[in-house]
Amino acid sequence: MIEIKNVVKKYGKRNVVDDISFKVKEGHLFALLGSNGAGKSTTIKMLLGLVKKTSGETKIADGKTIGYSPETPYFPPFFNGLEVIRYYGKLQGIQEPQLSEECETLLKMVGLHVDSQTKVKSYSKGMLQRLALAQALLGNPDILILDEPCAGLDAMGRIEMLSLIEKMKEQGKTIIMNSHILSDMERVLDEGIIMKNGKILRTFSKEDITEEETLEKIFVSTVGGNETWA
Amino acid sequence: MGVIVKGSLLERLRRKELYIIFAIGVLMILMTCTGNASISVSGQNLVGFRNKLMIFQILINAFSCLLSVVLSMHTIPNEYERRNSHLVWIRGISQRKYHGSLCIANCIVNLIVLFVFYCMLAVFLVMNGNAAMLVRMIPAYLFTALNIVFVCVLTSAVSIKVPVFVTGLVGIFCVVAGVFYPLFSLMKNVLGGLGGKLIGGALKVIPNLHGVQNQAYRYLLGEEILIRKIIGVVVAIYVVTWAIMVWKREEA
Repeated sequence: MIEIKNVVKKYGKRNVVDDISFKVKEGHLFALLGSNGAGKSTTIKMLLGLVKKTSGETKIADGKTIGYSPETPYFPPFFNGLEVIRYYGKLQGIQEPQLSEECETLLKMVGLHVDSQTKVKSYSKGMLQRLALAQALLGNPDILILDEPCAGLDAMGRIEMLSLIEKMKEQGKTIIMNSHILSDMERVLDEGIIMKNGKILRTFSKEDITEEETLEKIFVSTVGGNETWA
Repeated sequence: MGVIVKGSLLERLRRKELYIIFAIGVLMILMTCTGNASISVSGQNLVGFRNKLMIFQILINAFSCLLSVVLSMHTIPNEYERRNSHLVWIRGISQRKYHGSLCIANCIVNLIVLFVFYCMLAVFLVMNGNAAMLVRMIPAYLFTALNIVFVCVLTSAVSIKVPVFVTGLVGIFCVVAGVFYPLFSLMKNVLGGLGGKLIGGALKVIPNLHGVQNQAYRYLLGEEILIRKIIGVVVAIYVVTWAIMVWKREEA
């Protein structure tokens, strides 16, 4: 479904992403884990064509549509929630009456229907994240790429966001997700990679995670525990 | 394309800087060209309707062109800085369409500003007993609009490739050189040497915005116009429009 092969990204002499390769199977949730500066977001952006690869290949199966929820979403502050979704829906070429129906459904799905007439400038970080997810779901894409979807959400918001992501998975969507919150990832992932300094240190699947060998333990043993504070 | 233009227009109309600069422009034009205001050049008072009309036209042209630089230089860089470009690029919108739409929004905003300045000119004409000239205002507006479109498209195109600060400098340099074209021509002849050659080189690239504005003024007075001056700016618009179509960002 998705393949990344020997991808390298250099900024000057620094390898931000250093010769990484992985495949994502259809209907799976693939986790990108790593500390800050590991190269997760850059990998996502290269896959989306937002950042130019220095070398390597990225492949997405023909005809598959993609939805993307950015880490720090920006929406025109003078629009309300509904207008934001309609704006991106129109950009995507979704026609009426499908557009209105879809906007209403998505805003309900992410729990923003009550605030749909409120200007985005008064939205909290969590509300913006939910709005970002809603715009990513426009047009019912086959692939969802979520960059830190739980960042800025409170406990309840995280639970709701993860339920939504699980629901998307049940619908058969292929998801690539990048998050720092390991307990969240543990709940939803099928497989993933742990990155550090642009390299893949380990690949793993949910079968590798047990009660004794939690994702946190795998992560700490792979990345190097206290070394990250050094 | 219309969606991006509309979104960008709405954002611009909500920016306070537009109204502040616009208000300053209106005030300065009103202060210099209405009532008992007088303008002196080298100690000599410029009096009479023709002189005042000329000054009015020069001020409208200069203010509108400068405003076009200020209001256009941020538009495209802001989209990339805020990463709104990410959500546009992933929807398969080409850069040509994206940048083109933002550039059209820039042009529309500045043409609206120019229109308001021309409304003030209409008041000035009526106040001076020249209401008959109002009919000739539409072509005059369209001539001046060519200057505005040139500056907007140039600034938008340059902002694709270079930082805002450099875009601003390039835009202001082109406006100053274009609006005061005869002065720069004179400087070229007086200076000679390397300085003269540099100015001469710049004047070959920069269109004669003063020439176009002067044709608008002549048209208002019912005098014959030099169509080649207008064609010069049209050609320049054609060239910078190509730059908008061709210049691309490597990353969103």
